[in-house]
Amino acid sequence: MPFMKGPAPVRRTLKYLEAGNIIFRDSIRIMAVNYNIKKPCSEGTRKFVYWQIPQIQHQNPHVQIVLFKNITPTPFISFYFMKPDHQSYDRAIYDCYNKEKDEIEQHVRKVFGKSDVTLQRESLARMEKANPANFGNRCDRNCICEVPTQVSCTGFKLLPQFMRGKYKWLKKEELAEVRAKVPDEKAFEEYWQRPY
Amino acid sequence: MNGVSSILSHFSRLNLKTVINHQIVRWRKPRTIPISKKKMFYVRKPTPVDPKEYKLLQLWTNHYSAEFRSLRKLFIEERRRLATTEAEAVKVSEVKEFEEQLSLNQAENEKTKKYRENDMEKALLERNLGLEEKQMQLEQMRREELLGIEEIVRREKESGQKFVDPKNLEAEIARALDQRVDYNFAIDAKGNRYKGGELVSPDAKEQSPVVLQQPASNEAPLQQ
Repeated sequence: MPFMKGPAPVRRTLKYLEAGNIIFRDSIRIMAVNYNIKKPCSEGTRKFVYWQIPQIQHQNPHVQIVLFKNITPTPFISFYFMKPDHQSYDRAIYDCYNKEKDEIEQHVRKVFGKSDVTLQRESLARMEKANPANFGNRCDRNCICEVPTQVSCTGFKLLPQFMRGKYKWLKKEELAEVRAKVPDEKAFEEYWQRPY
Repeated sequence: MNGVSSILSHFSRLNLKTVINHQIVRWRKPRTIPISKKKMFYVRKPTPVDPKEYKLLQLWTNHYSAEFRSLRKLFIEERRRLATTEAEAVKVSEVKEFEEQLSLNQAENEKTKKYRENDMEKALLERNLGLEEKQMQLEQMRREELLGIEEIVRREKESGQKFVDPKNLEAEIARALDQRVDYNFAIDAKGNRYKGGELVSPDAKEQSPVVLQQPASNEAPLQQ
Protein backbone atom coordinates (compact mmCIF):
# COMPACT_ATOMS: atom_id res chain seq x y z
CA MET A 1 0.00 0.00 0.00
CA PRO A 2 1.61 3.37 -0.95
CA PHE A 3 2.23 6.20 1.45
CA MET A 4 -0.58 8.65 2.03
CA LYS A 5 -0.05 11.99 0.32
CA GLY A 6 0.35 15.33 1.98
CA PRO A 7 2.05 16.62 5.12
CA ALA A 8 1.36 14.56 8.24
CA PRO A 9 -1.37 12.46 6.60
CA VAL A 10 -1.91 10.63 9.88
CA ARG A 11 -4.23 13.55 10.67
CA ARG A 12 -6.59 12.20 8.04
CA THR A 13 -6.76 8.64 9.33
CA LEU A 14 -9.94 7.50 11.05
CA LYS A 15 -8.09 6.17 14.04
CA TYR A 16 -6.48 9.55 14.67
CA LEU A 17 -9.71 11.47 14.17
CA GLU A 18 -11.68 9.26 16.51
CA ALA A 19 -9.01 9.67 19.17
CA GLY A 20 -10.03 13.30 19.61
CA ASN A 21 -11.21 13.94 23.15
CA ILE A 22 -12.61 17.46 22.88
CA ILE A 23 -16.39 17.28 22.53
CA PHE A 24 -17.91 20.72 22.86
CA ARG A 25 -20.91 21.61 24.97
CA ASP A 26 -24.21 21.68 23.11
CA SER A 27 -24.49 25.45 23.31
CA ILE A 28 -21.26 26.15 21.41
CA ARG A 29 -21.82 26.93 17.75
CA ILE A 30 -18.69 28.61 16.36
CA MET A 31 -14.98 28.40 17.14
CA ALA A 32 -12.77 31.08 15.61
CA VAL A 33 -8.98 30.82 15.91
CA ASN A 34 -6.82 33.89 15.30
CA TYR A 35 -3.11 33.15 14.98
CA ASN A 36 0.10 34.20 13.24
CA ILE A 37 2.27 32.13 10.98
CA LYS A 38 5.73 33.37 11.95
CA LYS A 39 5.59 34.97 15.37
CA PRO A 40 7.09 32.91 18.24
CA CYS A 41 4.24 33.82 20.59
CA SER A 42 1.84 32.03 18.23
CA GLU A 43 3.77 28.79 17.86
CA GLY A 44 1.70 26.81 20.35
CA THR A 45 -1.52 27.93 18.68
CA ARG A 46 -0.13 27.00 15.27
CA LYS A 47 0.63 23.49 16.48
CA PHE A 48 -2.78 23.25 18.10
CA VAL A 49 -4.40 24.21 14.81
CA TYR A 50 -2.21 21.80 12.84
CA TRP A 51 -2.73 18.75 15.05
CA GLN A 52 -5.99 19.21 16.95
CA ILE A 53 -8.41 20.96 14.61
CA PRO A 54 -9.02 17.84 12.44
CA GLN A 55 -9.90 15.86 15.54
CA ILE A 56 -12.10 18.60 16.95
CA GLN A 57 -14.03 19.00 13.72
CA HIS A 58 -14.52 15.25 13.43
CA GLN A 59 -15.91 15.00 16.94
CA ASN A 60 -18.02 18.16 16.56
CA PRO A 61 -19.38 18.12 13.02
CA HIS A 62 -22.04 20.74 13.81
CA VAL A 63 -19.62 23.38 15.12
CA GLN A 64 -18.24 25.84 12.59
CA ILE A 65 -14.47 26.25 12.90
CA VAL A 66 -12.94 29.33 11.31
CA LEU A 67 -9.23 30.16 11.10
CA PHE A 68 -7.86 33.70 10.74
CA LYS A 69 -4.19 34.03 9.89
CA ASN A 70 -2.01 37.12 10.47
CA ILE A 71 -4.86 39.45 11.23
CA THR A 72 -4.24 40.18 14.90
CA PRO A 73 -0.85 40.70 16.57
CA THR A 74 -1.40 38.01 19.22
CA PRO A 75 -3.17 34.64 19.03
CA PHE A 76 -6.50 33.86 20.67
CA ILE A 77 -9.46 31.53 20.29
CA SER A 78 -13.02 32.81 20.50
CA PHE A 79 -16.13 30.72 21.05
CA TYR A 80 -19.63 31.83 20.16
CA PHE A 81 -22.30 30.01 22.18
CA MET A 82 -26.04 30.26 22.75
CA LYS A 83 -27.28 31.57 26.07
CA PRO A 84 -29.65 29.39 28.16
CA ASP A 85 -32.66 31.27 26.80
CA HIS A 86 -31.75 30.05 23.28
CA GLN A 87 -32.53 33.48 21.88
CA SER A 88 -29.25 35.32 22.08
CA TYR A 89 -25.63 34.34 21.89
CA ASP A 90 -22.49 35.29 23.76
CA ARG A 91 -18.79 35.23 23.03
CA ALA A 92 -15.90 34.00 25.15
CA ILE A 93 -12.22 34.46 24.32
CA TYR A 94 -9.23 32.45 25.39
CA ASP A 95 -5.91 34.30 25.15
CA CYS A 96 -3.26 31.96 23.71
CA TYR A 97 -0.26 34.30 23.91
CA ASN A 98 2.89 32.18 24.42
CA LYS A 99 0.85 29.08 25.35
CA GLU A 100 1.90 25.55 24.46
CA LYS A 101 -0.25 23.26 22.36
CA ASP A 102 -1.04 20.86 25.23
CA GLU A 103 -1.92 23.74 27.54
CA ILE A 104 -4.38 25.13 25.03
CA GLU A 105 -5.93 21.70 24.47
CA GLN A 106 -6.39 21.06 28.18
CA HIS A 107 -7.90 24.46 28.83
CA VAL A 108 -10.28 24.30 25.89
CA ARG A 109 -11.43 20.85 26.96
CA LYS A 110 -11.94 21.91 30.56
CA VAL A 111 -13.83 25.12 29.88
CA PHE A 112 -15.64 24.53 26.61
CA GLY A 113 -15.77 20.74 26.34
CA LYS A 114 -18.06 18.23 28.01
CA SER A 115 -16.69 16.69 31.15
CA ASP A 116 -16.12 12.94 31.57
CA VAL A 117 -19.13 12.74 33.88
CA THR A 118 -21.41 14.32 31.30
CA LEU A 119 -20.12 12.06 28.54
CA GLN A 120 -20.67 8.99 30.69
CA ARG A 121 -24.16 10.11 31.61
CA GLU A 122 -25.02 10.65 27.95
CA SER A 123 -23.66 7.28 26.90
CA LEU A 124 -25.69 5.58 29.64
CA ALA A 125 -28.82 7.38 28.47
CA ARG A 126 -28.14 6.24 24.93
CA MET A 127 -27.63 2.68 26.10
CA GLU A 128 -30.86 2.77 28.09
CA LYS A 129 -32.75 3.86 25.03
CA ALA A 130 -31.22 1.16 22.86
CA ASN A 131 -30.73 -1.57 25.42
CA PRO A 132 -29.50 -4.64 23.56
CA ALA A 133 -31.04 -6.84 26.25
CA ASN A 134 -34.55 -5.74 25.23
CA PHE A 135 -36.71 -8.05 23.19
CA GLY A 136 -39.96 -7.41 21.43
CA ASN A 137 -41.38 -5.71 18.40
CA ARG A 138 -38.60 -3.32 17.37
CA CYS A 139 -35.68 -5.11 18.90
CA ASP A 140 -33.08 -7.56 17.68
CA ARG A 141 -34.95 -10.47 19.26
CA ASN A 142 -38.68 -10.86 19.02
CA CYS A 143 -39.16 -13.23 21.94
CA ILE A 144 -37.17 -14.22 25.02
CA CYS A 145 -37.19 -17.77 23.73
CA GLU A 146 -34.66 -16.68 21.07
CA VAL A 147 -32.04 -15.90 23.72
CA PRO A 148 -29.58 -18.70 24.41
CA THR A 149 -29.89 -20.20 27.92
CA GLN A 150 -33.53 -19.16 28.16
CA VAL A 151 -36.52 -21.46 28.08
CA SER A 152 -37.23 -22.48 24.49
CA CYS A 153 -40.34 -21.49 22.61
CA THR A 154 -43.26 -23.13 24.36
CA GLY A 155 -45.03 -23.39 21.01
CA PHE A 156 -42.59 -26.16 20.08
CA LYS A 157 -41.07 -27.50 23.24
CA LEU A 158 -43.71 -27.90 25.91
CA LEU A 159 -42.77 -27.25 29.49
CA PRO A 160 -43.04 -30.12 31.96
CA GLN A 161 -46.64 -30.66 33.02
CA PHE A 162 -46.12 -29.47 36.57
CA MET A 163 -45.18 -26.02 35.17
CA ARG A 164 -48.18 -25.72 32.85
CA GLY A 165 -51.40 -24.07 33.99
CA LYS A 166 -53.54 -26.50 32.01
CA TYR A 167 -52.42 -29.37 34.19
CA LYS A 168 -52.16 -27.37 37.40
CA TRP A 169 -55.71 -26.06 37.34
CA LEU A 170 -57.71 -28.21 34.96
CA LYS A 171 -56.08 -31.64 34.92
CA LYS A 172 -54.95 -32.09 38.47
CA GLU A 173 -55.55 -35.85 38.54
CA GLU A 174 -53.48 -36.45 35.46
CA LEU A 175 -50.75 -34.30 36.94
CA ALA A 176 -50.85 -36.30 40.13
CA GLU A 177 -50.50 -39.51 38.13
CA VAL A 178 -47.54 -38.11 36.22
CA ARG A 179 -45.97 -36.86 39.44
CA ALA A 180 -46.28 -40.30 40.97
CA LYS A 181 -44.25 -41.76 38.14
CA VAL A 182 -41.74 -38.98 37.57
CA PRO A 183 -40.85 -36.40 40.25
CA ASP A 184 -40.76 -32.71 39.31
CA GLU A 185 -36.98 -32.35 39.32
CA LYS A 186 -36.51 -35.26 36.99
CA ALA A 187 -39.17 -33.96 34.67
CA PHE A 188 -37.33 -30.63 34.62
CA GLU A 189 -34.01 -32.29 33.84
CA GLU A 190 -35.62 -34.28 31.12
CA TYR A 191 -37.08 -31.03 29.75
CA TRP A 192 -33.61 -29.54 29.31
CA GLN A 193 -32.26 -32.65 27.74
CA ARG A 194 -34.84 -33.17 25.06
CA PRO A 195 -34.64 -31.08 21.90
CA TYR A 196 -38.39 -30.69 21.36
CA MET B 1 -45.04 -31.39 0.88
CA ASN B 2 -46.99 -28.17 0.69
CA GLY B 3 -47.39 -26.19 3.77
CA VAL B 4 -45.03 -28.23 5.86
CA SER B 5 -43.46 -26.04 8.42
CA SER B 6 -39.76 -26.49 8.32
CA ILE B 7 -38.78 -27.39 11.80
CA LEU B 8 -35.10 -27.87 11.35
CA SER B 9 -33.80 -28.05 14.85
CA HIS B 10 -36.31 -30.69 15.91
CA PHE B 11 -34.24 -33.24 14.06
CA SER B 12 -30.93 -32.12 15.39
CA ARG B 13 -30.13 -33.87 18.62
CA LEU B 14 -28.22 -31.08 20.25
CA ASN B 15 -27.66 -30.76 23.97
CA LEU B 16 -27.63 -26.98 23.67
CA LYS B 17 -30.83 -25.03 24.03
CA THR B 18 -30.91 -24.14 20.33
CA VAL B 19 -32.91 -21.39 18.77
CA ILE B 20 -35.76 -22.81 16.73
CA ASN B 21 -35.98 -21.35 13.30
CA HIS B 22 -39.33 -22.25 11.76
CA GLN B 23 -41.98 -20.89 9.49
CA ILE B 24 -45.57 -21.19 10.69
CA VAL B 25 -48.04 -21.99 7.95
CA ARG B 26 -51.81 -21.70 8.46
CA TRP B 27 -53.20 -25.01 7.18
CA ARG B 28 -51.88 -28.32 5.91
CA LYS B 29 -54.77 -28.87 3.45
CA PRO B 30 -55.74 -26.49 0.65
CA ARG B 31 -58.89 -24.45 1.16
CA THR B 32 -60.62 -26.07 -1.80
CA ILE B 33 -60.59 -29.52 -0.16
CA PRO B 34 -63.63 -30.13 2.13
CA ILE B 35 -63.43 -30.93 5.82
CA SER B 36 -62.86 -34.64 6.53
CA LYS B 37 -65.83 -36.85 7.38
CA LYS B 38 -64.57 -37.48 10.86
CA LYS B 39 -64.25 -33.83 11.66
CA MET B 40 -67.38 -32.62 9.84
CA PHE B 41 -69.92 -32.63 12.69
CA TYR B 42 -67.46 -32.80 15.52
CA VAL B 43 -68.46 -30.69 18.47
CA ARG B 44 -65.98 -30.34 21.20
CA LYS B 45 -66.95 -30.81 24.78
CA PRO B 46 -66.54 -27.60 26.68
CA THR B 47 -63.83 -27.67 29.29
CA PRO B 48 -65.25 -28.42 32.72
CA VAL B 49 -65.52 -25.26 34.71
CA ASP B 50 -66.46 -24.97 38.33
CA PRO B 51 -68.75 -21.90 38.33
CA LYS B 52 -67.87 -20.81 41.86
CA GLU B 53 -64.21 -21.25 41.24
CA TYR B 54 -64.57 -19.48 37.95
CA LYS B 55 -66.24 -16.49 39.58
CA LEU B 56 -63.60 -16.29 42.27
CA LEU B 57 -60.79 -16.61 39.78
CA GLN B 58 -62.38 -13.95 37.61
CA LEU B 59 -62.59 -11.59 40.57
CA TRP B 60 -59.02 -12.27 41.65
CA THR B 61 -57.74 -11.96 38.10
CA ASN B 62 -59.50 -8.63 37.69
CA HIS B 63 -58.08 -7.36 40.97
CA TYR B 64 -54.63 -8.55 40.04
CA SER B 65 -54.80 -6.98 36.55
CA ALA B 66 -56.06 -3.71 37.98
CA GLU B 67 -53.24 -3.57 40.51
CA PHE B 68 -50.65 -4.53 37.95
CA ARG B 69 -51.96 -1.98 35.48
CA SER B 70 -52.00 0.78 38.06
CA LEU B 71 -48.47 -0.04 39.17
CA ARG B 72 -47.21 -0.08 35.61
CA LYS B 73 -48.83 3.28 34.90
CA LEU B 74 -47.44 4.68 38.12
CA PHE B 75 -43.93 3.58 37.27
CA ILE B 76 -44.14 4.90 33.74
CA GLU B 77 -45.38 8.26 34.96
CA GLU B 78 -42.72 8.40 37.66
CA ARG B 79 -40.01 7.54 35.19
CA ARG B 80 -41.21 10.20 32.79
CA ARG B 81 -41.38 12.80 35.55
CA LEU B 82 -37.98 11.85 36.89
CA ALA B 83 -36.51 11.91 33.42
CA THR B 84 -37.76 15.46 32.81
CA THR B 85 -36.79 16.75 36.25
CA GLU B 86 -33.46 14.98 36.05
CA ALA B 87 -32.87 16.42 32.62
CA GLU B 88 -33.80 19.87 33.85
CA ALA B 89 -31.62 19.52 36.92
CA VAL B 90 -28.76 18.32 34.76
CA LYS B 91 -29.22 21.25 32.38
CA VAL B 92 -29.24 23.74 35.24
CA SER B 93 -26.14 22.21 36.76
CA GLU B 94 -24.39 22.23 33.39
CA VAL B 95 -25.23 25.88 32.81
CA LYS B 96 -23.90 26.73 36.25
CA GLU B 97 -20.75 24.73 35.69
CA PHE B 98 -20.18 26.45 32.36
CA GLU B 99 -20.51 29.86 33.98
CA GLU B 100 -17.96 28.89 36.60
CA GLN B 101 -15.58 27.68 33.94
CA LEU B 102 -16.03 30.92 31.99
CA SER B 103 -15.08 32.95 35.06
CA LEU B 104 -11.97 30.76 35.48
CA ASN B 105 -11.19 31.36 31.83
CA GLN B 106 -11.49 35.08 32.41
CA ALA B 107 -9.06 34.87 35.35
CA GLU B 108 -6.59 32.96 33.17
CA ASN B 109 -6.94 35.60 30.48
CA GLU B 110 -6.15 38.34 33.00
CA LYS B 111 -2.91 36.57 33.98
CA THR B 112 -1.91 36.18 30.35
CA LYS B 113 -2.81 39.80 29.69
CA LYS B 114 -0.23 41.02 32.21
CA TYR B 115 2.79 39.40 30.70
CA ARG B 116 1.50 39.87 27.20
CA GLU B 117 1.23 43.64 27.75
CA ASN B 118 4.71 43.67 29.36
CA ASP B 119 6.18 41.93 26.36
CA MET B 120 4.35 44.20 23.97
CA GLU B 121 5.61 47.30 25.82
CA LYS B 122 9.17 46.05 25.68
CA ALA B 123 8.86 45.25 22.01
CA LEU B 124 7.42 48.72 21.40
CA LEU B 125 10.25 50.38 23.34
CA GLU B 126 12.87 48.44 21.42
CA ARG B 127 11.21 49.34 18.19
CA ASN B 128 11.05 53.01 19.19
CA LEU B 129 14.71 52.97 20.25
CA GLY B 130 15.67 51.47 16.98
CA LEU B 131 13.67 54.10 15.19
CA GLU B 132 15.34 56.86 17.22
CA GLU B 133 18.76 55.51 16.37
CA LYS B 134 17.89 55.39 12.74
CA GLN B 135 16.55 58.90 12.92
CA MET B 136 19.76 60.12 14.55
CA GLN B 137 21.80 58.39 11.90
CA LEU B 138 19.73 59.97 9.20
CA GLU B 139 20.13 63.41 10.74
CA GLN B 140 23.88 62.88 11.03
CA MET B 141 24.03 61.93 7.39
CA ARG B 142 22.04 65.00 6.44
CA ARG B 143 24.31 67.23 8.50
CA GLU B 144 27.38 65.76 6.86
CA GLU B 145 25.75 66.23 3.50
CA LEU B 146 25.04 69.84 4.32
CA LEU B 147 28.63 70.36 5.47
CA GLY B 148 29.87 68.84 2.29
CA ILE B 149 27.62 71.12 0.33
CA GLU B 150 28.81 74.12 2.32
CA GLU B 151 32.41 73.12 1.67
CA ILE B 152 31.72 72.92 -2.02
CA VAL B 153 30.02 76.31 -1.92
CA ARG B 154 32.94 77.79 -0.01
CA ARG B 155 35.42 76.42 -2.47
CA GLU B 156 33.42 77.73 -5.33
CA LYS B 157 33.17 81.11 -3.68
CA GLU B 158 36.90 81.14 -3.12
CA SER B 159 37.61 80.13 -6.61
CA GLY B 160 35.07 82.69 -7.70
CA GLN B 161 37.33 85.38 -6.39
CA LYS B 162 39.90 84.32 -8.92
CA PHE B 163 37.44 84.68 -11.76
CA VAL B 164 38.47 86.99 -14.49
CA ASP B 165 36.40 90.13 -14.86
CA PRO B 166 36.57 92.57 -17.70
CA LYS B 167 38.23 94.91 -15.21
CA ASN B 168 41.23 92.74 -14.46
CA LEU B 169 41.32 91.02 -17.79
CA GLU B 170 44.48 92.73 -19.01
CA ALA B 171 46.26 92.11 -15.71
CA GLU B 172 45.27 88.45 -15.72
CA ILE B 173 46.43 87.97 -19.26
CA ALA B 174 49.79 89.57 -18.43
CA ARG B 175 50.02 87.36 -15.32
CA ALA B 176 49.23 84.21 -17.20
CA LEU B 177 51.79 85.00 -19.83
CA ASP B 178 54.39 85.74 -17.20
CA GLN B 179 53.60 82.59 -15.19
CA ARG B 180 55.86 79.69 -15.80
CA VAL B 181 54.87 76.22 -14.85
CA ASP B 182 57.34 73.45 -14.36
CA TYR B 183 55.94 69.94 -14.78
CA ASN B 184 59.36 68.39 -14.53
CA PHE B 185 58.87 66.56 -11.27
CA ALA B 186 58.49 62.96 -10.19
CA ILE B 187 55.52 61.67 -8.17
CA ASP B 188 55.15 58.62 -6.05
CA ALA B 189 52.06 56.59 -5.27
CA LYS B 190 51.20 58.80 -2.34
CA GLY B 191 51.25 61.94 -4.36
CA ASN B 192 54.55 63.29 -3.03
CA ARG B 193 56.51 65.21 -5.61
CA TYR B 194 60.23 64.90 -6.08
CA LYS B 195 62.49 67.20 -7.90
CA GLY B 196 66.16 66.50 -8.24
CA GLY B 197 65.80 63.63 -5.79
CA GLU B 198 64.38 65.89 -3.14
CA LEU B 199 60.88 66.04 -1.83
CA VAL B 200 59.32 69.25 -3.00
CA SER B 201 56.18 69.42 -0.95
CA PRO B 202 55.77 66.45 1.37
CA ASP B 203 52.38 67.53 2.85
CA ALA B 204 51.09 69.28 -0.16
CA LYS B 205 47.70 68.10 -1.18
CA GLU B 206 47.33 70.60 -3.96
CA GLN B 207 46.82 69.30 -7.39
CA SER B 208 48.10 72.39 -9.08
CA PRO B 209 51.49 72.17 -10.81
CA VAL B 210 54.60 73.67 -9.36
CA VAL B 211 54.57 77.30 -10.06
CA LEU B 212 57.92 78.88 -10.71
CA GLN B 213 58.60 82.28 -9.37
CA GLN B 214 57.42 85.06 -11.57
CA PRO B 215 60.38 86.64 -13.27
CA ALA B 216 60.88 90.31 -13.04
CA SER B 217 59.34 92.31 -15.80
CA ASN B 218 62.79 93.25 -17.28
CA GLU B 219 63.92 89.62 -17.66
CA ALA B 220 63.16 87.71 -20.78
CA PRO B 221 60.51 84.99 -20.51
CA LEU B 222 61.65 81.35 -20.45
CA GLN B 223 61.44 79.59 -23.72
CA GLN B 224 59.83 76.23 -23.55
